[in-house]
Parts: sequence; structure tokens; C-alpha cells
Amino acid sequence: MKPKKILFGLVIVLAAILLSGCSGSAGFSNSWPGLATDGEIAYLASGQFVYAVRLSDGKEIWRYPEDSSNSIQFVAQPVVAPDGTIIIGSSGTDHRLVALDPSSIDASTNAPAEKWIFSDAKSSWVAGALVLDDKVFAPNSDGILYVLDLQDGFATKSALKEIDLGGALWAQPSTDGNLVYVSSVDHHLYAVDPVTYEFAWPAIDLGGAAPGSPLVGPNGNVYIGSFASEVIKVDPATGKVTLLTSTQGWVWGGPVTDGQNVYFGDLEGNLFAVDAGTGSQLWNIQPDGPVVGTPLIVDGNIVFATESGSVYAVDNEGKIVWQEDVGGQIYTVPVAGAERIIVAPMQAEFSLAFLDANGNQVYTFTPEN
Amino acid sequence: MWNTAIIQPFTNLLLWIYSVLVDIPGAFGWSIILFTIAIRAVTWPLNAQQLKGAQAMQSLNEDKEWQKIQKKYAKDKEKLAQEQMRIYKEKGINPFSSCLPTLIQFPIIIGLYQSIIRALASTPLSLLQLARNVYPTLSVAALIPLNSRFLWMDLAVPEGIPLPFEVSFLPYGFPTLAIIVAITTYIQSKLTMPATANPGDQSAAMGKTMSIYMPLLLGYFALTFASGLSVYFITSNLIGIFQYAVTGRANWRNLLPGGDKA
Repeated sequence: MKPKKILFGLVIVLAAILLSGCSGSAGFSNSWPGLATDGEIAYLASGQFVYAVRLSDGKEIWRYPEDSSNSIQFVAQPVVAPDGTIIIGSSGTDHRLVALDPSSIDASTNAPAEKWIFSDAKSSWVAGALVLDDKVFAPNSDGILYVLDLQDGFATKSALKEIDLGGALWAQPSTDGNLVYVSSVDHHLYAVDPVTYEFAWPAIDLGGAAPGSPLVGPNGNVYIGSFASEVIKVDPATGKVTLLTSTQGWVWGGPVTDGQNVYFGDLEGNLFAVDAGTGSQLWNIQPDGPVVGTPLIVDGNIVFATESGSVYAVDNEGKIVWQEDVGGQIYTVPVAGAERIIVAPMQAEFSLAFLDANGNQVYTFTPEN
Repeated sequence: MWNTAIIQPFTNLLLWIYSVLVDIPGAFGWSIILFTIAIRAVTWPLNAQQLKGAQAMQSLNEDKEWQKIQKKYAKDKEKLAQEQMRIYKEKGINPFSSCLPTLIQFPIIIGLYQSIIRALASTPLSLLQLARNVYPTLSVAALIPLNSRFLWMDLAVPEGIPLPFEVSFLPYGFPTLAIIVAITTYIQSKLTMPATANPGDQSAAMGKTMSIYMPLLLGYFALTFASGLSVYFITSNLIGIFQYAVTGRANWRNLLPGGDKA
């Protein structure tokens, strides 16, 4: 082949690489990490691994899988079952939902044993599952809520029931023990009976996508926000919808409650406090950026993170108790345990930041290769 | 800058077209097709300039005076280059006019791909980015997420028709669209290639090389990227073929074996 043709070929290949590199990813791996805790250990689902990190010193205890694989990616929130099992789904091309046994760590690989695997989902796992009694309710991006039996003893699980809801299911379901509430990016809120798998009432059209989890709040009412820039209240007995309040921007994360009020953020950069009963806005504050993740109640304060990389603690009257600039962009819902508040920023120098009760950053965690 | 100048306007244009067509099945696929037609219409002067430049270069290569100069200064590269520039000036030929339009269109392809991925918002992060980039004048909260189904395809992922057996390098199945992309790209590049009688014609040699590499490159893109991009490629190629045909510039003989010889 002539040198000119070889050169031309190389230019074309370079162009292909450039296009691949700057075009972004069509896969689900390109998203923010999932985070959970059992009160002693933080479980970080990020990239090709799930990491177990001790809250007391920020050190890694184990990671899963043993070796990285391009087909396995994690963005979903890990779920800690009552028996300590960690349930996590892959967002890569390998659509596995796996249960890990942290009490059985292989000494040579430092990876936990797999208790069971479910591989029948057609798309990626973006949301954490809900464990209710002996069942796992696992929402998938294929629009199906998979119900698995925790007690069947099979290492390779089949779905007990596939409930086709439609749209991508990106939010962890909620429950009041009687019904399972599932929100969908397809604008709907569903209420499913966990025994009969029948719908309790017709799906509620939220008027916009609802990527956040529903909240079972005071008096048993269900609260959910959406891209329709509003938060609604649903009576679980009848499915009757009441507008709780309107917001300035799209609502991404789910609301949280302290038993009296509900708190939530919007993408315009507001944090709202609303009376759960009357819907009257008690206050709203403007932190330094949009609030994507669901806030967290810690010692009576509302703790939340912003896209600008800050973590705030606000008391129930809207007064900022402390603010810590962690860096990066924080979309993941913070977790708390062992007197620590843990956040997982994106595009930061570390993967986890551990804050004390006053918001001081005490240590960080960065996975070692 | 890139986001503000290219991706954001492209994404909002796609969303606007989608909002008009939303009740039609496969609305996003039709939006990409209409968007492509708009892009081809806007860049048609560039395409015309490219074709004109290629034809001028090709006619220069058949010019007797130029052929004599090439023979005369075959061993004196510096003098040959000087003479070449003189002839370009005399005949009003811009040597970059044939490749510059292609270079200008390349960012459009990259921007379009990013816009398609952003508009389809198949991941939480891309949905968040989409929320950030929607113009306030565009009321799309009720439209998001867009329906990515078009004919048998999901426009957010590479296209493939499921096979009864597993092929490791074809994870999405038989790549129909990638093949159509490669074929239409080949046809378009062949139609725009002028016939030549000169075996040493460099522009013709480059054109031949392009007609081999470009279908492979775009076919590879179609194989690995979201099928929405393939819809763009196919539409763009078909419009290109149509444009060359109606303007009488298409060289249909090139599609036949040995047809590229004058």
C-alpha cells in the first residue's frame, strides 16, 4: 500500500477515535455513583466495582467483582437487606442483579461471595431494589418491576413476577408495608399490591418525568415531585391526588420528611420546606447550585448536596447550620452513619468524602488500582 | 463554547421538531430526518463548492500545459510547486476548496451525534444535561423523555436485528443499518467522483481511496453508535445522491466496473 493511502487511513482512524472520544457514552456507565450504608460500612457502586468502605476510618474492606470487566458497570444504589446481604444491579451490557454475602469474603481475592444472580432483565439497573418481607422488588430500565423470591434458595434466580410498568424505572420503590409505590420516567406513579401484584389504583399521570423515589410521609400519604415543577400528595387508599406545592424548577430527587414537613430540592437551585398537611411553603433557601439528590434528615437537620459540590445542613426553620465545599458535582443522595455524613461527588479528586457532625471533612476515600 | 454554539442549538432544534411531530409514531426518527434535510439545505453551498473544486482540480490534471510542466519539472519539486501555484492563480483554482467543506461538516456530524444522545437522554446524567440545555422558551417538560422507538429500532442504541445464534462481535444482532450506511456512502462517493483518463491523477486516486475508507468508517460508526446517527447518515447520503442527480452532476457510470475510466 502506498504511504499516502496509509497516511489517509490513519487520519480516518484518528477521526473515528476523536468522534468516539468526544461523543459521550450511549451506555449507562456514564452516570453518578450509587451509595448506601448499614451504619458501619458505606457501599459505593461506582464504575466497574462496588466498594465496601469502613465509616470509622474510610478504608476499603472489600470490592466486587474480583476483576474489572467492561460489561459490568455500577451506578445503582446498593441495597442492604435485613440479613446483611448487599443487592446491586449492573448498568453495563451484563444486566445482572447480584446478591453479595459480605460475611463470606474470599481471602485471596478480597471479594464477597455471590449468594445469587438474576440475569433476565433486558436493560440496565439504575435504581436500587426494595426488599419487602421475603421479596425483592427490583425496577429496571426496561420498564419492568421484577419480583424475586429471597427464600427460594436458588443461586440463579428467575422472576416470581414481571410487572410491566413501561418507561424507564430509575427510582427505588417505596412502601408503607401495604403497597409498593414505583415512579417512572414515563411520567407515572404506580401502586402495586406486593402479594397479588394488582394495581391498587390506575397509574397517576404526573405531567412530567419522575426520576426520584416516592416518599411515604406523615399520615401515610405518598409524596412525589416531577418535571412538571410540582410536588403532589396521593391518598394511598383511593389514589386521590392533591397538588402539594409548585416549584420554580424541575424536581429530580424524592422528598424527605421529619414527620411533620416535607423537604425537597429543584433544578433551579432551591430547597423547599412544605407543610405536609396543608402544602403551605414554610421557607425556601437558595444554596449554591441545583439540588438533584434527595435530602437526608440527620439529628433534626436537613442535609443535602448541590451540583456545585457543596453539602449543607439546615435546621427546620431554614437557617443554614453549616456548609462544606467538598468539590466536584454531587448528585448522589448522601448517607449517614457512625456520626459521619458521607457524600459521593463526581469529577472530584476522591470518590467519597466523610464529614463529621459539624460538616468538617475528616477523611476521603479513593479506590486504589 | 462547543456546547453553546453547536450542541445546545442542535438539541433544541431537534426537540422543537419533535414537539411538532410528537403525535406521529416514530416522531424522533422523523425529527432526525427533517433535521438532516435542514442541515443539508444549509450546507448545500459548501457541497456545491466542494464538487466544483474537485471538478476544477480534475480538469487541471487533464490540462495539457500542466501535464507538460509536470514532466518538465519532475525532478525539481520546488520549481514544480511554484508552477503549480502559478497555474492555480491563473485558472482561479483554490486547492482547499474541495476538502475544506468536508472538514467544516465534520464538527456538524460530531455535534449532531452528541445532540441525538443528549435529546434521547437514556441515562440519568444525560437527562440532567438535557434539563440544563433546554431553552426557556421551549416547553418540553411534558415531552421528556423522548420516545426513542422508530420503525423496528431504538434510536438510542446501535441497530441490529436479533440473530438466532450469538455472534460475539455483533452484540446487537445483524447490523442492517450499518450495511445500508456503508452502501449509500459508497454510492454517493462514487457518483461524485469524476471520470479520469490520467492514471497519475492524484485527485482521482484520493477520490478512490475516499470511496473505500469513508463507507467503512461511517459503517463502523453505524455499527457502534446510537442508530439515530445511522438515520442521519442514510438520510444525508440519500439527499446527497438526489442533489447530485437532479443537478446533472452524478456520474452514474462510476457504479459500473471500470466506469471510473474516461
